[in-house]
Amino acid sequence: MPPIKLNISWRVLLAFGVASLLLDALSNPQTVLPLALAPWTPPPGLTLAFLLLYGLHYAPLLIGVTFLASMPIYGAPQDWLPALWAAGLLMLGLWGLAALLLKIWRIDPHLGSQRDMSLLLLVAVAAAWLDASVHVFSRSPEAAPDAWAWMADLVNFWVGALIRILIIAPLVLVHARVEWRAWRGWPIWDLLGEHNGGQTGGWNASREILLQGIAIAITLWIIFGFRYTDEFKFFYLLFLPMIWIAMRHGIQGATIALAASHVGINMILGWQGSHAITVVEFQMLMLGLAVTMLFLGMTVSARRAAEERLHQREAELNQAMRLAAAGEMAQAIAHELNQPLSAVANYARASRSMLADPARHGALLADTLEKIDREANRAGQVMRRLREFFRGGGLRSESFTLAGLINESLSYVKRRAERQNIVFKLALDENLPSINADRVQMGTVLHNLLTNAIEALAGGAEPGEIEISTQRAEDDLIQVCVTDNGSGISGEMEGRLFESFATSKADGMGLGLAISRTLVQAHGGELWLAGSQPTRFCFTLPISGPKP
Amino acid sequence: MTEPIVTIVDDDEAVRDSLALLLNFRGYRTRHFPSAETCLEAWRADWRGCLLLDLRMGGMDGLALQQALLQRGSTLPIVFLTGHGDLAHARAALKSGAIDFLEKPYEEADLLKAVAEAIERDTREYATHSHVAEIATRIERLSEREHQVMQLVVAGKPNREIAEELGISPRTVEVFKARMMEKMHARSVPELVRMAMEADVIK
Repeated sequence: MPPIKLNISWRVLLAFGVASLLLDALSNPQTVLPLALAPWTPPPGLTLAFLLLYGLHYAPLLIGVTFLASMPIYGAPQDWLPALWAAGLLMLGLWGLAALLLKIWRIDPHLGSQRDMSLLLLVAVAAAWLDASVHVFSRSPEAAPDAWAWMADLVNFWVGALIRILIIAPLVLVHARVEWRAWRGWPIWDLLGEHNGGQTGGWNASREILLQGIAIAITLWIIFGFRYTDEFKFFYLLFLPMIWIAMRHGIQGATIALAASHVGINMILGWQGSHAITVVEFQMLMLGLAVTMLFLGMTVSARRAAEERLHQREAELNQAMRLAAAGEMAQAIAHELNQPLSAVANYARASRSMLADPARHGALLADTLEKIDREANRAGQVMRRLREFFRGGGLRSESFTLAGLINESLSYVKRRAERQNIVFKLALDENLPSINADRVQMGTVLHNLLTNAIEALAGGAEPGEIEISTQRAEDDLIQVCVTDNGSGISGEMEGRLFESFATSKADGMGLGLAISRTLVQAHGGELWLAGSQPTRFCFTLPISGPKP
Repeated sequence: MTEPIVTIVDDDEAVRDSLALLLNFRGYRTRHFPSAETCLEAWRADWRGCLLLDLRMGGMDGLALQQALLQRGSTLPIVFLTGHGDLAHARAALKSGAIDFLEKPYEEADLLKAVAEAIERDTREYATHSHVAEIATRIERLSEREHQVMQLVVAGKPNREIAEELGISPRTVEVFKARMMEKMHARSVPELVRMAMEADVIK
């Protein structure tokens, strides 16, 4: 048997410690039930999420981290043996449940589907019961004098624990893959007035998030603010902003909103000093809200993922078809050129033999040279037809906006760019009019420039960034520029950039820029290299369209 | 025996004409057809030499012509010419016995080598073929007795045993054997055995 290598990261343990302290500070279970063990047992929702995400072998370490983290705040437990015993029992149960989810039911730890969510809910019910029993059983006997009070405490704690698990576990699971290092690019910063020129609709998206936060706050104020009504008379109102958020941001938004409102309610309850009975009833409402929002958020996310996949596949198909068409044309051209070229070669070879005896073959030689001339002309005609195809004759002019075309082109390369951690920056002049041009050909030009930029950024050390800008150059000219922060273009390559078959890529044909320039010129525009450090390609297009 | 001729089939007139001209100057006789159909119509079993086929032609293409000729029993070696480096077609053509596959534009040396090889293979096959046919006609001309004697001689039996088996005197066997050897143009028994093997009379 090969030795089992356990992968343990200090970062995971540190994150767990910080998160469990944070939870402890926010939820403060003492307001619900006075319990002896609470600070030293690992929080079940967080633990479940960490075991699912980072591996079952973390289980014993997480107990240690919880103890270490709570030590400076609560001091060592008086009866450390039963405390350790309870923590160990709870961890064993959570470990078993996580193993069940991962190994038997094989769910995606990042919750990719409704099924994953349903199974997690099922496991959460069991985990909460385990949590409740460990806590209620290990209390001193005088805490609950009779069996009824004891049962009530168990159920009460069970529901409370279930809510906490349902709020924390999905929150951690769906956000575990967020690229934290890219936090500077988040649209939320637009609110602070720092204009990053950035993502399309960035301002609108962040404004909406702000409004959603305000909506939750107002709803909480309506629920708790009116002194003369019962708090939960208006609790259903909380569903409205939550549904809004879940519909707009899927499971990611739903989990954050749930956590925020839960913390908010806890804080208000603690501040108002509500009675235990009110707490129980709120717990039931909160449970209903949590389950509804998790499933609604999941449905929205799953549907969005499906739509995204569909769109991506369509884009790939489009691209493949465009390439296939180009390949077919290349083959047709090759065939058309091959015929006269082979004939010329054959005639020339024969002519050389005729020269050996010019007296005898003189007439035949003249005749053959005549034929060579004819075949060379035929090859020339193929080339002329090809040029006409690109110029004028083959153009299908239509009216469209460059911004729309740029967004479409970006959607084709989005996934590739994401894989390389490339960020797109748009600096589009919003006052530009529609232009008249062949949309497919201009799409090809943009696609060529974008893929060149993406390939130039491959393997770079810095995070990649591609800027696309549009502006008016002259009265009738629009200028589009694509800039990347890659290593630039070597001087040697710079001179040959636009030649056919000049390429610095291992698998490139070296046709992209040559074809792009031909297409732009056919529209009456120009394509050029505007800077080599950083690399910037610009092209112009007349607004009124190609001159006939 | 008919002379080897390079048969060119290509739907492009200039290619056809220039190939014929070049091959003529390299000492080959040629005939050419503008399509697979006209070639198939003109084909005769006694054609010698080889075929130069364009793979892609309007109407019937090169591969179809190859199949049609194979069905009619043609053994003419085929060299394919193509403008497309089409691997799948090349494989199919070579599997069905094409001798070579030239991609346009080709070097003259490659073309001449392929044509020479094809003609050489055809000549060799034809020679073996006609030699075997000759032996078969000689065997056919033997009388029944002479045929029996030949069978026993190549089986390695001495005259005495042959006489016994056929129920005739050893002297008579001698006479039949001498006449048989003369008709078979065999100077010795080993030569007779070799002929019999070539003609597939014995294994």
